[in-house]
Amino acid sequence: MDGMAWASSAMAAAQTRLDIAAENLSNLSTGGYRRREARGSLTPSGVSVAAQATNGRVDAVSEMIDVLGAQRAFEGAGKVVSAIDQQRQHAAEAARVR
Amino acid sequence: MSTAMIAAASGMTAQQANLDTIAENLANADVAGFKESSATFAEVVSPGEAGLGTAQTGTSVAFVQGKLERSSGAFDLAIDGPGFLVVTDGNGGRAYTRDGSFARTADGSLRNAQGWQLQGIRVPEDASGVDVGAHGDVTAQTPRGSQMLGHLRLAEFASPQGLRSIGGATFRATRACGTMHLLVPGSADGPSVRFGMLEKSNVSIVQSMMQILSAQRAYEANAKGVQAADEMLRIADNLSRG
Repeated sequence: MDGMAWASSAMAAAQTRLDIAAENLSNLSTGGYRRREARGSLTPSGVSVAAQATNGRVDAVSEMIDVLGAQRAFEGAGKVVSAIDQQRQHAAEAARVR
Repeated sequence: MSTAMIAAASGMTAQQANLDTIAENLANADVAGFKESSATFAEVVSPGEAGLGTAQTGTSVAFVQGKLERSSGAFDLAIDGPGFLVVTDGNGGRAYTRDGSFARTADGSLRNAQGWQLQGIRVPEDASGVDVGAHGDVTAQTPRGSQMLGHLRLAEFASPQGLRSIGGATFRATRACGTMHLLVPGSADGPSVRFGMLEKSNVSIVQSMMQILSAQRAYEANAKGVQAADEMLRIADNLSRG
């Protein structure tokens, strides 16, 4: 698996993390709602995040922290994608010069 | 739109609905017999099992007894216990209320501010006060002595959550209320009705203020969720621009 695939799986994982946190936040006033937790795992095709049911209630503060965390993780993985892209661009230019 | 954005936006809508309900409670805090309500929500789940946020399912009314307070009106009445006063609009339209702020009109009927008339009771012109005795018997004190006016009955519903509010403390019956049966006030284990008293609303102003604060914070948290989802879309968009 190349770096690009890794980084893009990380971006998708961060997107799922945000989906789960937003789902929890939107249900702050829903009676009987149980918090979902983002569980990350390593698979042969990269990192993946899935929602797992818990018995806890939603806490707005920890969900907000999750929102920020997901956003930064997405940003970070995005930087890796652009870095790899730039590197490939340089390599292609170098090949053309020769 | 991403899933996160849809969910967070539904959360904002939910908190807006929460605020609307709290505002209605506060607006009616001084209406006699008013019962506090709260918005109820359910999770929205898409066919693919991913959560899509929340949606309002209705409002739930807290039929909790309000405090009884002495009132200046001789024809005001309050229910201590379950049940509703049966009122009519004069055209056969019926409604049910716990608001007992009645005044005597020219034809002897007892009407509240909205014009609803207390069913079954007519008060003579020279009556100085009214009383409810055992078995719901209503008597008036007049210069000629005490006079029997009729029987007062209270309505009780199998499922009062099915009542539809028509403003203030007044409700109409719907199919969802289930069967209605009449209660006799003044019996040993039943409700009691007292004239010269009013039931205060069961809205707690302090509680409502706290609910407003938490709804506001929850709204903000969801707005942050929308912002984060938007920011991530922007980042993804910039990647494709190189």
